[in-house]
Amino acid sequence: MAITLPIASHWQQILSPDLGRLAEPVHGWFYAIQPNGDLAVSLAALIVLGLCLGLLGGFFGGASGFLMAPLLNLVGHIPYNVAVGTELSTMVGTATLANLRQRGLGYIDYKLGILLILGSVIGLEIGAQLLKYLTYAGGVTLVGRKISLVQLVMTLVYGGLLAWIGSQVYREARSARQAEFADGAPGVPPLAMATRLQRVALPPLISLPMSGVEAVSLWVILGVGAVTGLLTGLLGVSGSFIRMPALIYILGIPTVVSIDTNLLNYLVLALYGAFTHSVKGNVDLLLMVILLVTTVPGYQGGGWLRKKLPGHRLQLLFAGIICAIIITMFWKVLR
Amino acid sequence: MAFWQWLTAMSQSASPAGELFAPHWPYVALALVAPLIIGLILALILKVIENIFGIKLGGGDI
Repeated sequence: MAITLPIASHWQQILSPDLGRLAEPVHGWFYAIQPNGDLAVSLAALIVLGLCLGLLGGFFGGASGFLMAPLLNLVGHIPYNVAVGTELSTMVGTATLANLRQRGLGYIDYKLGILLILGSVIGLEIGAQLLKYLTYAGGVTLVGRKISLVQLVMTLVYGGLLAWIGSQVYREARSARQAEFADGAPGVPPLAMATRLQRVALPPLISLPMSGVEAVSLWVILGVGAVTGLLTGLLGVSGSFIRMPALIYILGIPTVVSIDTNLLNYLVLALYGAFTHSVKGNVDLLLMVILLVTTVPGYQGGGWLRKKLPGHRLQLLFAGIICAIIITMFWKVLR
Repeated sequence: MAFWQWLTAMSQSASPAGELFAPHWPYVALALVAPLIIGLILALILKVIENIFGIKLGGGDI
């Protein structure tokens, strides 16, 4: 059974106007483009994709968030702007769930939270505007084939980021394996960047009494927010994998306060991201519902598997999956 | 079926073809409210499962 996604169809027709004048449908792996340009995607493929993404998220944590948009593009031919916008709307649901489920002890540093949100919203809007610009920028000819600029740029950005994440996962798996043989804990990588940023004393300096921080540059807090917001607006990821280490190692915020403040930031960021991307027409509501109701059970399954299976072997598998996705992404662009 | 047709109509641009996308406001509201409600329902379902089977499930992706 295939379902027509109205927003994805709308952008499909704008990004590839030739596809709206077809004599007969064009079939992909799990999608079909109708003669009028409508995009119909296999419901079964979307359900399996949602479950797998949830499973990876539950097993490996935040890095899997980077996979959703590229996989939606690969599996369903869903334009990147729609994949990112829909991912952010889905994030409203997962953030609501996370806030309800992980409700901590109420250790939210509101002063820090508001400043982080301010930086994040600015970064997110810049990311969303950048994506909008790319979407309307038209196409380029690559190896004798016309391709939209958004498809090309996002393939390169995601390809680069996934390659970096894959290499980190591989290194982590290898060091965990070595530590297992050496009967010790894996070493903690040096955080040279964090140490350098801690020394930034650009005024105004503010104190965070709730977190026990005497003085920290306002610009560092806004910068952390802006960088994670930019990633959220452009790529549709939560940014927690940067925000959490930044709060703990750069700003020196206690872990329990970091967790609760990050949860608040996550929800507000998801709401603003869903708002600005829906105003730009990037949220496919039906796709959002499918992803939300499939990723959540998948996540629970991934969490269960994490307790049962040896971590480093599956990390190597994860690195292999990432590598295969990168190759397929570039094959899709170049074929 | 009527809801699906309404949803499809809401998801179209309000501006004429060839112009920048202009959203219908119910579409924007749904993009915010629908996942919020689904997230609440899912949290409730997980809580019920925990209570029935006496297990502890995961917290939710961040």
